[in-house]
Amino acid sequence: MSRSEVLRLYRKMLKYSSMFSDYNFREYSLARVKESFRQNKLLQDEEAILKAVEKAQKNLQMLQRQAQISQMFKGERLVIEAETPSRNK
Amino acid sequence: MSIVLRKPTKFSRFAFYSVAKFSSEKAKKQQKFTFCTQGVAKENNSQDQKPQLSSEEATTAAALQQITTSYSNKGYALDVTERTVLGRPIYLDAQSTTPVDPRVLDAMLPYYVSQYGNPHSRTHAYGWATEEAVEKSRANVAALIGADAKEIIFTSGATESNNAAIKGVANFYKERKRHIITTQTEHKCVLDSCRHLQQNGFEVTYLPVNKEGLVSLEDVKNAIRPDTVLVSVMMVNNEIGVIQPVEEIGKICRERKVFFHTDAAQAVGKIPLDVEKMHIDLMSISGHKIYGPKGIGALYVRRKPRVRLEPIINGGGQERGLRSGTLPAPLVVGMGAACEVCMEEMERDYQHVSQLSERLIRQIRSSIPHVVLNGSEVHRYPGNVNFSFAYVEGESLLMALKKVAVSSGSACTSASLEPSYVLRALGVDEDMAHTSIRFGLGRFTTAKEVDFTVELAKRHVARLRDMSPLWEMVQEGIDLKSIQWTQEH
Repeated sequence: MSRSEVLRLYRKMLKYSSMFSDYNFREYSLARVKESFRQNKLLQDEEAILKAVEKAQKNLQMLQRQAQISQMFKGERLVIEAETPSRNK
Repeated sequence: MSIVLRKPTKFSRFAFYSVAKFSSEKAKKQQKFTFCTQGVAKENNSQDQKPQLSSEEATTAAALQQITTSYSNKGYALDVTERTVLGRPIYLDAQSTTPVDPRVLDAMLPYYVSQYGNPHSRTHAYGWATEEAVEKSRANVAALIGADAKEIIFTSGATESNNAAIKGVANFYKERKRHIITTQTEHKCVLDSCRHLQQNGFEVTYLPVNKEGLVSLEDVKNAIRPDTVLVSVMMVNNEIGVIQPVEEIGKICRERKVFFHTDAAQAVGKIPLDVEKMHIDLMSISGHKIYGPKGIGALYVRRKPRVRLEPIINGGGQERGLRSGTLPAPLVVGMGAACEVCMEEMERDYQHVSQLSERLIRQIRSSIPHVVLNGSEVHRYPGNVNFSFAYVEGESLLMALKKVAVSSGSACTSASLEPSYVLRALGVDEDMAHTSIRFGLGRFTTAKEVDFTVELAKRHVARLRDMSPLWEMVQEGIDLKSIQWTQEH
């Protein structure tokens, strides 16, 4: 497993995490992905790395599916996400 | 901090400018507008005296004010109730229910879409596939609480589990033993099951709790009689988050050969627990409190030494005959997945929730005077923060906090205006019990949401107290307890 492959996986996971329409799921998912990649950064054992990557790939598939579902059933935005209306309008 | 410091002058100058500029036609609108900006300016001043706010918190507060003022500039001045801010409320009610984790939903969906077999069908592949999934879930639930898979029985939720456990044990052993012990702060479904048994000739002891919400071990010891069949004490209280000394109670019960049931709906998946270590004989678990689906729960029933139950639902003999009825395979799979995720995430979740809880408590205490945290400060699950705001009417505060989904206590009793019986059992005065608000923090809560809540609570408590004659008297130094409210006849 090369460094660039892992990085690609990481970026993909972040991409789908940010697709969640729900604020809480999006924030959690982004934070969680970053955290676990940071944690596993120091892994040395080849087998452990492979295991972690395998798990991440499974999670990536889950993220892809769930982010899509989240897009299909969008809820209203949360009050703290409310955009500040521009003054020009 | 410097930005915040500069703002008041800027705002008030702007307010003055706008007062001068607007024509008399717009006087009404403008009055509202100036009122709003003055409010903001006042808040800024009060913030100056609170240097303990971190820079991040200050930014959120500043951002909030920015929303406020920009809306005001647009014309529909943001009134104090924030009616003009768009968006759905943030969710801070993790004790009533939790959102389904995407990982859980992902595990469930195949069983709604293609794997629709009846897990009890033994004659074809559809049944075998779902049966395998159900058994895997059972193992996941068991692993989370340190039990054996055979000891887990799926039910429709913690209410059914509590009913099945209490009524089941009582009715099975009723020939010899007719006494049950529980506490005054239990969930309604435990208390109501006990009341039902009382009508059928059982005797029930409702143990009191101290002002921290904890039951005393001496009381438990003294209450056990030769004909006591069951002790039922909840692990984490649903209203105040207090953790009972379950392990010690379990030990007492084991020594005295009395069955011990615990309602762990609020505890499972959030704090580490082990049925062996804690000597638990029966335990109720809920799916939707651990980011799983609603409509599913589980009951742990010990096999060694064996606990026997009389089933409350009879039928096809599923779940070892203790709970008949076809298992809802998708929900069972969801519950299993939720337990698996909880096991993996427990440490992180606990840390996350503790940090947020600490943040919420610190900020509320530093920015709002006369607040009381209900329940023990030490023996508690941090995700459940129950505050009483003195001199504020609880219902009005709940109404005012429309943009935050919180509750005054349990969801089951939130329709009634009665003060919480749990807080009354703690010896909280009626006026303080009326003003309680429960903030529920969970896996998906963010720091930004906590800051937003504190900001809103701060504003509205101040506003409601300003209106209150009681608050005025307190400010003048009058002791409210010394006042005679009614004239003697």
